Amino acid sequence: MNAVAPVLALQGVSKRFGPIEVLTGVDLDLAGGRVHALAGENGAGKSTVVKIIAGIIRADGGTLRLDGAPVVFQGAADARRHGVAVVHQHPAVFPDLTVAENIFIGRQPRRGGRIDWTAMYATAHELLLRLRMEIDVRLPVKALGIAERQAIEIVKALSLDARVLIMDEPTSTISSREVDRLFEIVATLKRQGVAILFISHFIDEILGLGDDVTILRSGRRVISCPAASLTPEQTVRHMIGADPGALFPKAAAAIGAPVLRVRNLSGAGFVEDVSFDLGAGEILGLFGLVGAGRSEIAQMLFGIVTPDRGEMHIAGTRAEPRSPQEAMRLGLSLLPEDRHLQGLVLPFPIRANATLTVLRRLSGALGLVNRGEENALAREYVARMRVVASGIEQVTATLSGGNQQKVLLAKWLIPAPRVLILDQPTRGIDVGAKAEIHRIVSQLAAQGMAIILISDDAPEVIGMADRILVLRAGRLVATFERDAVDQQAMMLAAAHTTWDQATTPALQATP
Amino acid sequence: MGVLARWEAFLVFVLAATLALGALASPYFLTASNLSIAVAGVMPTAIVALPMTLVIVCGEIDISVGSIVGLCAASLAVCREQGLGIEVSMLASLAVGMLAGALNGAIVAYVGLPSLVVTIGTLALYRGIAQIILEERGVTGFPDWYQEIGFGTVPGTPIPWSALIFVAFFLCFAVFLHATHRGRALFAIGNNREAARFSGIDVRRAILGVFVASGGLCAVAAVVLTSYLASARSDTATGLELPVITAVVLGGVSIFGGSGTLGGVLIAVLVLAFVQNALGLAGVTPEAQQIVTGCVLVLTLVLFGAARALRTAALFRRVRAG
Repeated sequence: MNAVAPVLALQGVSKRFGPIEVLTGVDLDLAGGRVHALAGENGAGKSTVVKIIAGIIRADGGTLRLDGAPVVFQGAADARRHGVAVVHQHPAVFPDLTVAENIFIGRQPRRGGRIDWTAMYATAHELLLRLRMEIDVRLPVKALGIAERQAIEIVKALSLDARVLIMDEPTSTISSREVDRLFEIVATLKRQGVAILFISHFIDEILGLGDDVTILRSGRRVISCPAASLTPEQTVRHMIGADPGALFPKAAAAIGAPVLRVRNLSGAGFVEDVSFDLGAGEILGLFGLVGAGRSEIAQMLFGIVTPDRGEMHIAGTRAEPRSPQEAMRLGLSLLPEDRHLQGLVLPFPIRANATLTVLRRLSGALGLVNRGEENALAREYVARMRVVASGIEQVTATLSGGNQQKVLLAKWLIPAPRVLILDQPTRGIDVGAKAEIHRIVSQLAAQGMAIILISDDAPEVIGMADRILVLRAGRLVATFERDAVDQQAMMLAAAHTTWDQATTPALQATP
Repeated sequence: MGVLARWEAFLVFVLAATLALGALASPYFLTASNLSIAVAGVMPTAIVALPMTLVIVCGEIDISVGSIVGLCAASLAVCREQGLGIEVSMLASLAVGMLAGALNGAIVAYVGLPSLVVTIGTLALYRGIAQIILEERGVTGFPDWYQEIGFGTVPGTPIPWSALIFVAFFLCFAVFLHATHRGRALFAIGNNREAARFSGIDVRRAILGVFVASGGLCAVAAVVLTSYLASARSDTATGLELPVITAVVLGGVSIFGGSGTLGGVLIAVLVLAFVQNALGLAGVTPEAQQIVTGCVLVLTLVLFGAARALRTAALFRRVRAG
């Protein structure tokens, strides 16, 4: 229990993908009976660390040591054989099989060549009891919630005698009640001497559940220390770094009359009473972590998800879009979060993607598309967005991510919306394209467009937005004006749920 | 688009080869009357292949087309038995076809079930209804002009009337699919349904529409086929879905949806017509002809997959180099 020597250690681990170094000389010690929390912003390198420990990818430099001896995992199965198990955010289970079958899949106890159901049910039941879980092992897994599925994954890991358990953002997809259950399980595992690596966005979980904390930023370890020696404020400062950087210029624009007025918007399961006004020429930042309800709000405004309650007024008129086509008629555009899934038809040429939103308008009486007009429109916007391509007939799939995103932006600007909703407009694209998109968005605001900028990139929101609304668990929890924004306070509001009423008092008492 | 253009060029080559081999197989093959017979024989397939192309471009499939043709033929026959005029009977049959297609489309688009399963179900359902309303009877005694539709030719030429009907519909469908915004929407739906929905395309209405078109053209095919056979029966067009889907896929339409041209389907229909005709002239039995048709379909898919893999590889080489 009082483990001194680490079970698993990373020493100076580095990894590059092509020209980009995603991890540089990272050290990490996982000791038996302790929870090590790994924190960092998106892109800090957390998931790369997980993949290296789980044997999914191999480090380019540095050493992985198991019980002090260097090891190289030949894939995920090999890591599992060495006692390393991973519980994923979205547990991969067989929904139609029973709990017991899921735990013993591929290695069911046998008797006389047939599955020994009695033994399997008994063992599964016993394993679950060790975690104080009372689940009927004969139930099909599809009858269970995500937290219980995670528990099954954990049990499966334990039945394989896992000594190192990696929990990759297990709480981002489950409810707070389920989080409590999960934390109880973690406490039990600690007592059993398992070394746990716990990845989370949430500050209170990092400090409340972790015995030790390591914070990564841009692929480097910023700090490793006992959780007790960190305050939430210090944690955030380590995560975001000293220089938030005013890299995102937003040109001064006169904010005009309110164009969009949203009152008590509720729905999509957990968004509650969201109200705000948006003026012409204003960029409203909507900041929040994954699962805070950012995209859900956007999709309710755009008619993709029907809200349970709430009102929306556009230019003073009550609007209730029930489909994207109605929302578009009302003057809304939504640049969706997922470029490939919701945004672009990748096999289409740039032209056809750019004009997809206005094709009906470009068509004559018989529905015939005016190709001359279509080409002209596509060419104009490709030039305005500075898309780097051989021409408007280049297949969209062959463009770089940044250029695809510019095509997507063109597609949603061509309808000339009054309100433009941008859901993560610069996620996963290169710095150059990011700057271009910021430049364009800033210009649009200056021309009087009302813009909602949804992002979990704090410096981006701070640089671009006139006003920032912070979302957490489907509610607006804080508002910051442009000249009074404090990144640390913003991150805390977004990430720090219930520090005072910590969900895990029992755990903090555990040595 | 590039690979499609090349695929159609390849099809033209196959068509030419078919004609050449046919000429070698029989001196009678390349005569105007034989080619006319070959074309007339394949017209029901060709007519149903038009909406099938739209359905497959959307990423759906309609297995029930043969049964809808049978149901339309049976409806026509029952109307005739009731003493209704041929024109009224044809309209009734058209209504039945569109209704059958609308039921398919509504279940697929609004209930959200996979079209493969839905139309396998309605394949049995529609054929069953046809057999109940008409039983084993065969209705004949059509007016002369009606008989001409399926078998007659435009006076003074070897061109079958049914081919003229097909060409008229072909032009409408080709313009619709390749030149209108609704046609473009079908390609968007077939490639990325979610993005199409986010773009303000009414995906469900579009899918309902292509299934209604499928049912409607099945009614047209029923008229051509009953005229060609000079008899309307409940087992009319049993198994028609197979040659129809073969023609569409051979024509270069991706079975996964999102790409293809009606031009390719047109050439494919002709290839199938002439291959079967040539095989018949060469004395190959209908059973063996089926083997050839099946082989042609599988081979096409293999070749198409290979062509696509080659193109993708070339593309990535270019991207990396540039």
